[in-house]
Amino acid sequence: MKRIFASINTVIAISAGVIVLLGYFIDLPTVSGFRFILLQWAVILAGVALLVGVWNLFSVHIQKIHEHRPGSMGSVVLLFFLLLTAIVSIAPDLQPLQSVMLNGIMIPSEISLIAVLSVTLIYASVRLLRLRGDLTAILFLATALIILLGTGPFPGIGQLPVISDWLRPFISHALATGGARGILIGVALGTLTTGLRILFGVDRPYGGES
Amino acid sequence: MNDVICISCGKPNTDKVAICQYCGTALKQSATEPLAPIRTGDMPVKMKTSDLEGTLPGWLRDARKASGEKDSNPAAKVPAVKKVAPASPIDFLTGLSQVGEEEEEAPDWLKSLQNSMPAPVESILPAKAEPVEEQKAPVEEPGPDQTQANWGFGADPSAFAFDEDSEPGEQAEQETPGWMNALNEQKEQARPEPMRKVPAEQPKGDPAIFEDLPDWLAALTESSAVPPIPPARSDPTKQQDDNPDWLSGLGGDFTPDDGSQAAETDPTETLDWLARANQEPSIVSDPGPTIAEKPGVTDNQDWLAELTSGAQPVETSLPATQKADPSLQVDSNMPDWLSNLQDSGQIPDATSGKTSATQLNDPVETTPDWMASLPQASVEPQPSAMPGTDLPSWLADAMNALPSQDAAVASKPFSSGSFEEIEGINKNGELPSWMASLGQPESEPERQHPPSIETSAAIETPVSSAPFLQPSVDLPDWLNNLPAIDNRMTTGAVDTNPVVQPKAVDISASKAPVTPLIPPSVDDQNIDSILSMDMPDWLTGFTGPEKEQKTAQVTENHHEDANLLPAELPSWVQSMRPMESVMAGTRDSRDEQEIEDNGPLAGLQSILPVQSGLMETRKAKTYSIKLLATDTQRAQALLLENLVNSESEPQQVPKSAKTLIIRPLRWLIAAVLLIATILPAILGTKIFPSPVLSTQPSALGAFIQTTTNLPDGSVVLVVVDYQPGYAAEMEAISVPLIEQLKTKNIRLAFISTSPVGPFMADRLVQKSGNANIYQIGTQYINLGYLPGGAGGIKIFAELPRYTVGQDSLLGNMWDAPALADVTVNGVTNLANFAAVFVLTDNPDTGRLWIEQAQPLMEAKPFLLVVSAQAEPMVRPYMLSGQVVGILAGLEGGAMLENALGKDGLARADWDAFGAAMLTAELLISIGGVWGLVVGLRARRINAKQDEA
Repeated sequence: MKRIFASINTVIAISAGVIVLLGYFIDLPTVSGFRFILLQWAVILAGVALLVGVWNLFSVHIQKIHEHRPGSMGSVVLLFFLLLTAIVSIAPDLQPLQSVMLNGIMIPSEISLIAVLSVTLIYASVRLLRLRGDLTAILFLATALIILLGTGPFPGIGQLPVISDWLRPFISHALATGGARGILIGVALGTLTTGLRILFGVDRPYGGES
Repeated sequence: MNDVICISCGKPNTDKVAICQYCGTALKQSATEPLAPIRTGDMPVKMKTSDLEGTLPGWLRDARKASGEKDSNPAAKVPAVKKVAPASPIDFLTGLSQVGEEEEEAPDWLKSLQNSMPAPVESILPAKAEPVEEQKAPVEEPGPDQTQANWGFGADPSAFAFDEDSEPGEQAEQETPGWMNALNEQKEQARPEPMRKVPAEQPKGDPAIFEDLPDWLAALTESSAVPPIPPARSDPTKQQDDNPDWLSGLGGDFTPDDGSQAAETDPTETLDWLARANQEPSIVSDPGPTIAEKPGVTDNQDWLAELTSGAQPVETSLPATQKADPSLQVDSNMPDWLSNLQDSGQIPDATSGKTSATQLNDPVETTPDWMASLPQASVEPQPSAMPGTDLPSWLADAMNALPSQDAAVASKPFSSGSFEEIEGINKNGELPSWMASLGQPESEPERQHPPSIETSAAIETPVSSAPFLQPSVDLPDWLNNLPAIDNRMTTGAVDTNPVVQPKAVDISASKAPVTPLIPPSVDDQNIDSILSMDMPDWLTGFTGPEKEQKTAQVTENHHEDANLLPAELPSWVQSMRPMESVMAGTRDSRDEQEIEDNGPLAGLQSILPVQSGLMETRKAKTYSIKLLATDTQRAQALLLENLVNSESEPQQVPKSAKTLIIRPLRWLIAAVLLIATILPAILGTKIFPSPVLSTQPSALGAFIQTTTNLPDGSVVLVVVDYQPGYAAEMEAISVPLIEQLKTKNIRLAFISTSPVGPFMADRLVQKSGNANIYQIGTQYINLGYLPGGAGGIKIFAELPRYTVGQDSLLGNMWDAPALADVTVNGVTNLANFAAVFVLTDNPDTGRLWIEQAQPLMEAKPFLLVVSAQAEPMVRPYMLSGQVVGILAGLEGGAMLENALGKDGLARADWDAFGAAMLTAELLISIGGVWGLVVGLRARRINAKQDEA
C-alpha cells in the first residue's frame, strides 16, 4: 500500500510538472486549463501551507511552554502576539490596531536589527586587517571603502567625482553585475536541473524512495 | 634363471625384473639395500664386503667415499683377497679382506685383523648345526657342557688386564696384537710345547683332502696317530712362513719371566695355559671322560677336546683361534675387551698358576656385563686356563683331549699347512698328538659331544660336505651357528640344508671325494672360513643384492628354528652394532612402498618407486601458529598498526584562536554611528548636497522617464514585496514614486507575495498621501497577499481575477472602480495594467516577478524599485530589456526627488545617511590601517619567537 501511494504521488507530481511545463511552450486551451487548475491548487495549497506553518509554530511553542524548557518565556511572548495579531486581523473592529502593531512593533524592531548589523559590519571591517592582513582582506576592505566613498556624499561637495562617477559604477555595474549574472545563471541551471529531476522522478520531495 | 624373492609379498620373481610383478615393490634398490632383519635363527650368509657396500650404513659409505678409493671394481678386490696369503680362520673378515685395502671405513680393528689374518677362505663347513641366535647371550644358564664354555673372561680381570683407557692409537700401531706378538716371541724361543694327546681316532680320509692342509694341520693329523710327540723347537723362520702369526704365536703365551727355558725343558708347558689348566683340576667343572682321566685338563678345554672327538683337527684349533681372534682384532677400534685380550695373552704368570681363585673371582669393573657374568655362569674361573679362556669350550675340549705329553707338539705353532704337512710333522714326531688327531676325521666315541655334523648326502659341494666343525652345545651360540654361516657363505648351494642338527660328522660316510676337508684351492683359508663364523651379526645380516635370493631361502629355513630362544648380545656388541641405522633405513625403504591412495594408481603398491633418500617419509613438522617475532619486530608492528589506524580516525580541526571581542570598540563604533545618524536627522541639516541625476542614460533615468510617461488615470500594478526592516529605505524611495503617480491620478492596485506586504502597501499609501489622499476601492485597491511563490505569480499574471481579489467585505476587487480598466471585454490580464512596479528589497523576488510576469506584460513597462543591496542582482534584467528602469537605494530616491523638484523623505534622510556613510568610511579606514600595522607587528613578533 505504501508503495502504491508513493507511485501515485510520483505520477501526480510528474504529470503536473509536465503539464505546467508544456503550458510555457504550447498554447492549447486544454493544456492551459489543466495548467490553470494546477496552479490554482498550488496557490491554495501554498496558503494552506502558510496556515499549517503558523499552526506548527503555535504547537511547537505550546509544547515548549508545557515542558518548561529553556526559553519558554519567549515562547509565551511569541504566542501572545501571534494570537493578538490574528485577533486584530480577523476582528473587523480591531483593524486600526493593525497599523499600530506594524508601525510600532514590526518595523522599528526590524530596522533596529539592520542598524545593529551596520554597526557589526563596521566593527568587523575595523578588525579585519588586524586579524587577517593578507591581500584578499585588504582588497575586500578597499572595495567596500570605494563603494562607500562613491555612494556616500561628503559634506559640501557631495559625491566624489571620480569615485562616484566612474569607479563606483564600474565596480557595481560591471564587476558586481557580472558576478550577479553568474549567480543568476547558476540559479537558473539549478532550477532547471531540479525541475527535470522531479519530472523524471529522480527527486521525490513529495515522499517515496528516490 | 634365479628367482628373486620379493621382500614385500614374498613371491618369486625373475631376476631380470627390477620390480615385483605381483606387488610392484622394487626388487633391487639402487641405494641402500634394505637388509633383511636378523631374526632368531637366521643363518649368516657369506658375502663379500664389496657386495655389501650397498647395504653398508651411511657412515661407512661416506667414509669410503671420503677415502677416494675405488671400490666398484670387483676385479681389483679379488687379487686383494688372494694377496692375503695367510689363512685366517676368521671368515667374517673375508669380505673385509677383499675391500679392506681400499676401504677405510672398516673399523681399524677389522683392518688390523685383516692384516693379521689370512685371506678368507671358502672354507668347508658342515651344514648348519645351530641357527644363529644373535640376541642370545654368549653365556646362558650353565649346563653340564656349558660350563666348559667358560672362556675365562671373568676369571681374573687382572689376567686379562682390561684396559679401557688404553689409547687406541697405540694399539693401532701394532699390526699384530700384543698377545700374538707374545706368541711370536714364544715362537722365536722355539720351545716345543707338549701337546695334549689327541685321540687316536683321527679321520683318515682321503689323502687328497689333506694335501693342502697346512703343515701344522698335517702334523695334527699325524699327531693324532702319534700321541707322544717329543718337544722340539720349531724353526721360527719356518713357522712364520707357514703359519699365520696368530697361530705362530698361539703357543707362545709365555713371557720371558715365565721361564721359557723351563718351558724348553718342560714340554708340558709348551702351552702353559693349557698346562695350567691341567694342573688345576679343581676348576674342572665337568670333566669329560677323557679329561677326567687326564689330570691337568680342565673342563674349560673340553671344547678343544671336542675337536678331536669331532675329528676336525682344524676346527678344534680354530675355535681357540677364533676365540683369540678378538685379540687379533686389536686395533684402535677394537673393543676394550678385545684389546685387553692382547694383554691377556701376555699374562703367562697369571696363567701359570700364580693367579689365585680370589683374583679370578674379582670382577673387573671394566669387564662387560656378559663377561662379568661368565665367572658366575661357569663353574669356577680357571686361572690356569686363562689363555684357554679365550678358547671356546669345544676347543678346550680338544685341548683336554690332547695328552699332556703332546704339549710339546701342541706348542708347535700352528701352520696353515695341509694335513699332509701335519702328517709329516706327526711322522716326525713334531706334531702334538692332539694336533695329529685333528687330522683324523673320526672323533672319540666316548666323548660327550653332540653328534658331529654329518654331512648330508645331498651336499655335493666340497664345502658343504666338509664337516669340519662339530658344533656342540658347549659352544657359544654364535659359534654353533658358524657352520651354517660358513656353509651358506661357501657353498652357496640352495639345496644344502643349512639347518642341520648337530650330528657326528661322518666323513667316511660322505666319502668326500669331492669334499676335502680343506679345498685345495682355498688351502689355508679354511681356517678363515671357520673363523668367519665369528663375523659379527651385524655384518652377517648384510645381504648383497646378488645374495638376495640366498638370503631369502636361508630366511625361510630359519623360520623352522623359530622356537629357539633369542640370544642376548653383550652390551658392547649392541652398542657397536649399527643395526639400528641399517634397520631404520630398511624400514624407511619399506615405508616408501606404500599403496597409492588415490588417482589412477589407487590400490597399487609401490607402483611409483621411490629412490631412497629422494623422498623421505617423515612426520611433518609441527609449526607453531604463533608469530615468532622479536620484541623489536613487535614494537615496529605495533607502531605500524597505530599509524594505519590513525589514518582512519577523524582528526580534530584545530580550533582557531578565539577572536577577542573588544566590546568597548563595538560600543564606540555604535555610538559614533548613532551620533552621526541622529544628529543630522534631528537637526535637519542639509550639509550633504542632494545627488543629481546624471545626464547619461541610466536605469534611474529610464525609470523616471517611464514613470513620467505613464498615462494619467491609468491603472498600475504595484507589487510591495519588501520587509518591514527595509521600510525606511524602501519607503524613502517609493514615497516619491507614489506621490508622482498620485499626481497623475494613476490608480493603484497593490499586491504582495509577502504576508506583511499588504500592510506595507497601506503604510506606503498613507505616507505618500498627505497631499493627495487616495480612496480605497476607487483610487487604489490592495489585492492582498498572493501565495504560491512563482506559481502564484504565474497564475496571477495569466488570470489575475481568478487568483486574488476575493474579499469578504469588498467582494470581487476586480470589479472595483480602481480596477475598472483592467478588465477589458471581460478579460482581466496583467497586460491591461499600464505598468508594473515591483518594490522589493529581495533580488529573488524581483527575479520571480520578472521571469513569471514580465513575459505577459505585452510591452508594458516593468519597473523595479529595489533596495541598494539588490540593485546589482537585478541590473542584468534591465540590461536585457526585461526591466525598463530601476530605482535603487536612497540615492535613487534622492535623485528622483531632485528630478521631481521637491524634497521628500529621501532628502530628509540624506544628511543622516551621508554622515553615517562618512563615519563608517572613516572608521573602516582608520581601523583598517591600525589593524594592519598591529597585525604586522604581531606577526613579526611571532616570527621572531618562532625563529628563536
